[in-house]
Amino acid sequence: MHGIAGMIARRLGQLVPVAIVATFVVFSLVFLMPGDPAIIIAGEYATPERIAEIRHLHGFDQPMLIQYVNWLWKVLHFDLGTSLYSSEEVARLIVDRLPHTILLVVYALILGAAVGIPLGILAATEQGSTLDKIITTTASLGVAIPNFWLGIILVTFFALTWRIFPATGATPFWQDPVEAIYYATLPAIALSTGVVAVLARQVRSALLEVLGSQYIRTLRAKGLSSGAILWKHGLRNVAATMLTITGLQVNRLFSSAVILEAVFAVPGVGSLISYSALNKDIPVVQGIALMLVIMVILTNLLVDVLNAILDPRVAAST
Amino acid sequence: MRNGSGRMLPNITRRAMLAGTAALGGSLLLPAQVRAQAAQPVKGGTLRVAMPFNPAALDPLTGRNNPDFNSLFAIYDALMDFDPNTLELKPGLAKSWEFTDPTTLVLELVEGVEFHDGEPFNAEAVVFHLDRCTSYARSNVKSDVASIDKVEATGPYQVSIKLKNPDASLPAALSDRAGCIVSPKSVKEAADGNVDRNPVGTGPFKFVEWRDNDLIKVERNTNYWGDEPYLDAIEFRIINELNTASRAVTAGQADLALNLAAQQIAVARRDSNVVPEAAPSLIYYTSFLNYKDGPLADVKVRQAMNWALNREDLNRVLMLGLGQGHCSMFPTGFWANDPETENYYTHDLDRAKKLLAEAGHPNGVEIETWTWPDQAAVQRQEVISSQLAQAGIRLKVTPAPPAQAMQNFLTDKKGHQLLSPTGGLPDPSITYDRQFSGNAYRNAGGIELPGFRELMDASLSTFDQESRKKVMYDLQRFVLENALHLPQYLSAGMTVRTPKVHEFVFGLLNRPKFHKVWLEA
Amino acid sequence: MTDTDVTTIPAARTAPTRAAPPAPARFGFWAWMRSDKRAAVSLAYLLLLVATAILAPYVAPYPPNEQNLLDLLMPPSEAHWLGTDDLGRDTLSRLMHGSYNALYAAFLAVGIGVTIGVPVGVFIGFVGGWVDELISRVIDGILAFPPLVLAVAVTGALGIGLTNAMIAVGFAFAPVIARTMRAQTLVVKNALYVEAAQGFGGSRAHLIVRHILPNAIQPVIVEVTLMLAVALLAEAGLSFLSLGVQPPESSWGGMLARAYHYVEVAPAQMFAPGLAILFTALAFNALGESIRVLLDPTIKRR
Repeated sequence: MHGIAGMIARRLGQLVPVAIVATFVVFSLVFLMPGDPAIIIAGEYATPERIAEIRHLHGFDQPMLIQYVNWLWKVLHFDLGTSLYSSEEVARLIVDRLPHTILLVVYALILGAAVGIPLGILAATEQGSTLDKIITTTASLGVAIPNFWLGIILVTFFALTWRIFPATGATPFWQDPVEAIYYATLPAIALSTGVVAVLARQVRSALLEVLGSQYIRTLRAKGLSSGAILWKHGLRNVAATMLTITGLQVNRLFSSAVILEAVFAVPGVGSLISYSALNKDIPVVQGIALMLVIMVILTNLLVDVLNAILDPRVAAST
Repeated sequence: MRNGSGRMLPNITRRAMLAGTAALGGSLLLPAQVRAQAAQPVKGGTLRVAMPFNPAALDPLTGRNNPDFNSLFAIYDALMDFDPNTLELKPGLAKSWEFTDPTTLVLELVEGVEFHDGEPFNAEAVVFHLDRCTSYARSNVKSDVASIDKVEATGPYQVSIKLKNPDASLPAALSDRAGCIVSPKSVKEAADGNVDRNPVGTGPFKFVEWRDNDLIKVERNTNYWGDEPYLDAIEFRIINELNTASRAVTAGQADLALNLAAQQIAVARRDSNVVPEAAPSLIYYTSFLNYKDGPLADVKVRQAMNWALNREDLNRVLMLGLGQGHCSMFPTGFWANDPETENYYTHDLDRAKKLLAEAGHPNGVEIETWTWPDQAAVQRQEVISSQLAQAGIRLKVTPAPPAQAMQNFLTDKKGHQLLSPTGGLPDPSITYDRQFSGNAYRNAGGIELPGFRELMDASLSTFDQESRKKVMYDLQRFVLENALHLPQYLSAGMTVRTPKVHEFVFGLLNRPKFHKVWLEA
Repeated sequence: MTDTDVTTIPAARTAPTRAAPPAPARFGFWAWMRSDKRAAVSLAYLLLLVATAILAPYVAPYPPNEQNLLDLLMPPSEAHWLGTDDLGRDTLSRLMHGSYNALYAAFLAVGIGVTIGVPVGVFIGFVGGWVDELISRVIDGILAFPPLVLAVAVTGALGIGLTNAMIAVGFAFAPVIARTMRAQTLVVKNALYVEAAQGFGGSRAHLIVRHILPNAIQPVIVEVTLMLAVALLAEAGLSFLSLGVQPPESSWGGMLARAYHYVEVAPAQMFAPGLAILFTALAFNALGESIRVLLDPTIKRR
């Protein structure tokens, strides 16, 4: 187990520099964006004096590096600041909105795995057949389809025409889990197509590789049933691949969630970050960036730990 | 191409709808109140409102956008009340007011009013509030009360406001943000005097909670100084996407949806269970022009642009006929709108081309234009560009998010015009001042043409309503003759509600008051 | 934004377990086409698309920006095979003109990704040491961030528009390509040093250009083809957020964004641009998969 503990320590150690790099990159991008948030803060009541007043009030007139260091200093004291436009604390904003995005992502992962893995197994065991071809083609479709387009089509049919699901909106999970899942179903389906596609393909090819290997041939020769081979040996080896892929999908899913949240009017962090980025609400963007980076790194770490438990050789190399 | 059943209108109906025939437009322009209401008000119920915008703040001084108002008047009363359809001022927390001389406004306050936190409302509270308007660092309403010199409590329920210069628009300003009295106790007890998220006023409803970008809840103020409101509570649900907000009403998850666009009204009309309403509004769509430098410094070019627009088409396509396609800054029927100059510019391509040629651009001219990047703004820009191109005026468009576009055009003076909606202000003087005065932020060129200042000052120092109206007519003519901007069309205040909601009026300013609203059981 | 094919990425994250020897590429073009029908269809479709992109001004039935304010949101008819949009413009013509922007967008983004990613990846793989460590951390930092969000931020910084949006997407691609190149460079470098120890000789630059690049590039070719599909989808996404193409130009993503604005009034307008994106992405993917199979000598030829 020393290998795993060492790996965890190493990766957590990497977390800090990576987080600093990521947040600095984001900060400079948003900072360098032309545009003056003071104008937006002044709103309908903008006058040149008021705008100058606001700039001074928020310290916009200071050099970029100083503003970044200020932010970093506050973060180290667990203060993520307040949004420029809504005066709400950034931490509060994230805590209120993140669960919606996480629900979508987790839901999509579960759906994707529940559909993709069986499809992959089926395709591998029926390799070469029509079923295999259909599954492979569907997998290709899943990666090529624009998620939000699929989402809109789902809404048009399943929500507007046949009123099976609600068209848009979301309920917080802690408030009413059943309703939350009900609302999240259509967007999760739209979000999951990529996961289904990738998992189906990867599970299929990994399984084929394993099933065709010498080791399995030996087992077969010894008289083990196909079912036993599949379950005990085939899937065990494939599990590592599945985990890695699932972990990698998280980042991608957060990405797609940005647009899907816009389509389905889900008040998650995805919709918040694009609005905030474009309007230079720097505290919010920085806060979300930091949180996303931490989450993605921790998710990857979790995946790698699980992998290492399944296959100790992996711990040594990551 | 086949698609979902039942959701597509047959061709003719859709064509008619999109062509904006009178049958559509006419009946919708009546204010809701005018229709006969036979039922008796019922006490009780929670009104569920869907609105697309999260307020910037619930402190009337630090908020900044028109839609913030959806919930403000539930929590706060203003010094003056106003008729939602004419903007005529009525007594509010000030039971009467008088200009004892052109620079002194005396208010007599209502007695026996308490703030939600139990503090008494009196002259002292008003003085504290108005001082805060002028001196609080985060106050956005300083320009509204810029004319105030000194505020004094000249009696327990009497306030005297001394002005630096005559300002006939001040009472109207006091019916708006600046006049929404905030409890001094709440300000003194708040950290940094920040009550953005903990509003305490004297209004018919008390603040309960605000989950950011999700929900604002208010409940009946049983201690209200006027008639108690009928509703038990109001839940303002913030739904950022317009279709979703409207659909919440059709699906029965909300009773009322505010700040919608023409598409939602068109869709809601297919459903006989909901009542879509589109009423005249003070918001208008125009372009801010830089008439100091660049090709637009020549009045003939500006006039040519105005002649090249086909405003009826703009209204038909962009508002689906629900707005008003003329060149005034105010809707037809509004007191400050001169019906004679309302259609000063009509669609006349020949005249446009002739003026351009006279201005020295026989082969057309290129105008650098800023616009916002959202789909609605882009669509507006496409139609306008196409119309202007027919007269040889080519727009070179750069889309940018509002912060950038405004900085580039209004602060850095780059480019020649910025397409933008504006308006929605309680007094016409304020509207002219905000857009055309020399020091106005939206006046990119920063200059005033000769004659403007006299008219502007006259509008502020004329107190007799009839005479003031004439000054407004003169101002309107001045703006149009000199083509100080490129007015496109007037918006409409668009809402969808269930028939169970009674007495709801969005009004010209789109600042709803829920005091008299009631829900059928 | 969907991920590129994922098999190359685990390979980069764990130690590569087998070398990627140079592929013989003796398999002729027509033989390839015959053996893989999907690739053949995809290639034909893409060629047709390129032709449409070039010939659209001559072949499209109407000018793409011609507004017809009396015929808004018409369903398909004889005059307009795919109907009209919210300003009365012919959808088919806009679709055809949009194909140019679609291809431009995809190739620009991938081009930028390759231009930045390949040299960086080869460089750090070759040089190793603390330079490698440092830049790999930076790459990790950028990759930890959801790609579309990064693209949104970069587009905002550069200014809204199709070119800038696709440059932003290219920046998001670059780290991924760099990683792959680095991994392959490491593999090839190790194999080469063995040969060098046997007296191969030659300067470092010579090594890079003549030996590392050609061998390391093969997985990138596959990755790049797949990225074309991702870039297309990214353009759709960014235009949907109103950050991509700006009028009066048409792009498929922009058409989708506008159609969504009217989705309840006229849902049919969503289909044409969406299907165009789907088919083109499918074609890129099928081609990429086929190239991968082609270049992998361990897969038996049928």
